[in-house]
Amino acid sequence: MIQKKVKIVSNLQVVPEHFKMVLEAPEISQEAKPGQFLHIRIHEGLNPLLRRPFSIHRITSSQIEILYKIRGRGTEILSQHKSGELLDVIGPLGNGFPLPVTSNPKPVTSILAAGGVGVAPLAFLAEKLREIRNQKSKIKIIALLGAKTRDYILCEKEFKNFCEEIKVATEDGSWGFKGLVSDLLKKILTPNPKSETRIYAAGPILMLQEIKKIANMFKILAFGSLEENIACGLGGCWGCVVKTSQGYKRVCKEGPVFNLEEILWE
Amino acid sequence: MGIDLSVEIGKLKLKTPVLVASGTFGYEDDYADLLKSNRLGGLVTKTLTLKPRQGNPPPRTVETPWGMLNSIGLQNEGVDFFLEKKLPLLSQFKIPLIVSIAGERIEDYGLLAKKLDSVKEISALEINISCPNVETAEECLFAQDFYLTYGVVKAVRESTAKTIIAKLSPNVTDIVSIAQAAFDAGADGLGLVNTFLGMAIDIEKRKSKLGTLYGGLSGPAIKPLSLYLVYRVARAVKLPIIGMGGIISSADALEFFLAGATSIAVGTGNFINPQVTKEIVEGIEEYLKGHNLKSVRELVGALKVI
Repeated sequence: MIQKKVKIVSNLQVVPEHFKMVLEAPEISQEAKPGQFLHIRIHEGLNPLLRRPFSIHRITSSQIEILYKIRGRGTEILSQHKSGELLDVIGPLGNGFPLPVTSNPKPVTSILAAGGVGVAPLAFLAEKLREIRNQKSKIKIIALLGAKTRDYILCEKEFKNFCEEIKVATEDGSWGFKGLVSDLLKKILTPNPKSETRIYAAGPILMLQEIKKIANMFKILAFGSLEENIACGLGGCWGCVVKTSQGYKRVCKEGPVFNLEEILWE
Repeated sequence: MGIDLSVEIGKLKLKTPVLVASGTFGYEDDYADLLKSNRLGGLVTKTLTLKPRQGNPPPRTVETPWGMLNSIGLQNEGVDFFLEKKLPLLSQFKIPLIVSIAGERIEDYGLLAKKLDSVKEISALEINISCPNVETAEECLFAQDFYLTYGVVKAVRESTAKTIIAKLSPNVTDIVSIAQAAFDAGADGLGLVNTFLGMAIDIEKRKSKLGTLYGGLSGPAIKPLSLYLVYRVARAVKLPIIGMGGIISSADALEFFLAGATSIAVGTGNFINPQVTKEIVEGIEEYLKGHNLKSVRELVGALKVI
């Protein structure tokens, strides 16, 4: 865990209400794993008071990217920061996505299911999976990207570099499949697949709940990145818990990635 | 000329007057990194109970203007787990360890104190009788009643020779009388104050924004309120006070000393900046140097009242 004031390299809108911020943070990027997050102090002021968590979207050896949607005052203020300014960042935090073992000779199909800005941690994961695949592991990577309309589709280009297959779902049918990512997922799964299949999901809670049901139906593993109100981000306050089959667990510490099977939603 | 930051609460000697408030500074590996270069006078643990507690349903925190509401519900693995699994890590930092305890009945507090009395790594006990997010066997929080406060502190006093600090609730009509009860029962110090009861409502769902109906408000929003209560109690009761409630800077801390606190604790401030306590200690030092003062103790209660 590193706490540092880091420089904003760029902070640009990518689709309506969605921004991508690039930070110069070599110490953090070299430690980061897909699914982990940064805990960012939005500004020096006291309203909003608490830091905001952001999934790590992409990394290079010296830079780290976040992709975020404007949801409230915190992200609104974040979107107004200019390149060259400094941000107080803590990271990388939490446990990321479990990766397939590189020496595994059996073929594995990894399905990445992203709802809206949930695509953020999955881009980093896709790049990592491709790296593992290049080490002669038999991994097939399929990305399912969901958005409200065609105008809101994120990262389609990036995923083309990492995945064998990309499918897009839009709620209004303006691009790709008409419907939700979870509907699309159900459509592409087969009852007795030839290879082991794993789902990696991030997006709205209703989507994750649906994916948990689908994974259960098809008897496959599904890992999801969960969101909660996070206060300390370091496991100290026990504020960001989610109910699991083993009691309340912290999204910031044991998560944010969980095997969806163990999550008990009310 | 060295600056003397040390203070005393009962038998407890603190190298600096800056502590972390219970439940805001874990004992996980990330905190271990932070603790390696800390300047804390003492470390107050998350509150322990006799048996494990699963805590309250989420959401457990919600941000409010200049503050936050929490409803954690004292989730913890119980005192035995703490002694076996967490104490070895915590005791290696050579910071006085103040263990926070809570119970549902007066007897629970006595049992916990008895259990911890023989543990040499523990320097003092904080008696948490003011958590707003847990049910007790009584009709109110212990810290909301003169006799219950007296009863709990007395039970702890009779079970341990260690320094004991009663953490009081601001959600009372007359905090001075409660503080007096803690004094009469043998407390060595007072923790002032726990969180203020508060609510936040989702107007679309017409439900609480917390998993429970209400929670405890903390953060800069409550600082003037807690400062006033510290001032009131400091004038009336002759016990050292750990002032807390919204402290996030050395200037905040200095206000509490002037109002009568012997030391201070940082809670929500740790969430904004986990290294803030170090900056606060440095800020206090700077202030003392700038004002030609030798000891932080010269500031305690030094508020000019016309």
